[in-house]
Amino acid sequence: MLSKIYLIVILTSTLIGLYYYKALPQYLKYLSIALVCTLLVELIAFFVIKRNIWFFNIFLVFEFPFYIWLYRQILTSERQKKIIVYFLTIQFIAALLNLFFFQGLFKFNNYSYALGCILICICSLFYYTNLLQSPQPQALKKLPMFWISTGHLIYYSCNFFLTGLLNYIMSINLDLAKQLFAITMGLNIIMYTLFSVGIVCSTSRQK
Amino acid sequence: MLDQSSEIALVVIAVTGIMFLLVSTIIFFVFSYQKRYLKHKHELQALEQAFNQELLKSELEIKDQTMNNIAAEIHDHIGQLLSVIKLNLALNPDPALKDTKTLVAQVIKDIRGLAHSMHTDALSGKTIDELFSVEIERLKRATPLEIHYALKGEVQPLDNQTEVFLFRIFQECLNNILKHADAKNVFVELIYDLSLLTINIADDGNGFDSDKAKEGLGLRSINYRAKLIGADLHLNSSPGLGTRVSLVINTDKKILHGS
Repeated sequence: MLSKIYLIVILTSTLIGLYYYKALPQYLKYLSIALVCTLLVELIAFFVIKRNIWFFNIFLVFEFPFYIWLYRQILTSERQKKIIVYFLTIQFIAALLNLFFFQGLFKFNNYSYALGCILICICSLFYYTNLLQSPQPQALKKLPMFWISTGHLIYYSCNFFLTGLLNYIMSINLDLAKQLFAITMGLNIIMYTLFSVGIVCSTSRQK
Repeated sequence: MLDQSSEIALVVIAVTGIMFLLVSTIIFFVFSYQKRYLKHKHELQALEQAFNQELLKSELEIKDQTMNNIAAEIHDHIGQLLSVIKLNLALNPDPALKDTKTLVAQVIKDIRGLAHSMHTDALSGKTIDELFSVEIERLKRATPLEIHYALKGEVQPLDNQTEVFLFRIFQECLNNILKHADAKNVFVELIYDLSLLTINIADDGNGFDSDKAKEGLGLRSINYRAKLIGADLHLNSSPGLGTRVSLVINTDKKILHGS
């Protein structure tokens, strides 16, 4: 049930992104494209492929670097931008190494996932510091990236512990892992709802 | 005793809950900090604006006081001296002095007109139409400007201070035209329409780019005075096409704003 709600939320978010696509700033256009990809991956995983862990493992090699790169487009501090380039490289290489040499294609790559969670949380905090240090402060609720980074911070920080332990929990009790996965679904719903808010407030801001 | 699965579930839920609370706290902190920062910045801007207004008000008060002093000096001192000269000349029956006597009489009249237009107290009790007419006549004599004046509608009285302010705005506009515009013609219109008074002052001078122009004391005092009496001020100008200032005020308004 929760999975279906999640799919509806991500579908809504994607449709909003596509509907306003022309009016969006460049970084939100990239986000909209990423949302389309995420939706396709989720739909294929949900309806087409039964054992879909390998599919998500490949997707997360690209998903995390993309979100990290998105922050590079937004941040103004040169120092933070430099750090983000390091993050991006580390995450991409770590995910590839993990995929090919450590956890492999058919076991959930929770190491690289956990690393990605930490890096994205740091990026979100970077964005917050950027906002607080801005010489021209603006109302946060009108800033699309504030909603997006808030979604990231909530999702990835809260999901870090669960996904980090997911393989272990699955080895002990698969049913429990499935039940606990509801938390991830709930967090996903929050994150993509906040993405939608961000996209909508970006267009209302331009009006 | 809880079994291993329940323990894991409990730990996962607890840690996730704690993380959620922690993150919510951070977001709330960022939100409230930003809100306070914005409020503080707005307060600072309001203070700065109030300070600038106060500064401008003082500048205008000093300017008015200085003008009053100069007007009093012209009227009481130079005017008196000229009157004595006129009397002395009157005692001399030489026909060659006839032109001089006429000129001295004219100078005395002009000097008095100038003193009256400068002194705030001397302006009270006159309608805006009377004030404009006297000033225009004075300027026609004293400057090369061709001033075309038109009054439309029935004159409605305004409160004394509003009329003085309107007159000062008018003087400031003409002063700007004389100083910067290099104009030949000035068109002044006073239009009374129901409860609205519209004053249009246009010239055929150099004009300027109103978007790029730096606001000097003259323009600032025009804006400030207009704001104080609740008048809508519109300024249109472009290089080579002259300048047009329009001032619209509700004649039912009795109260001065912000003073």
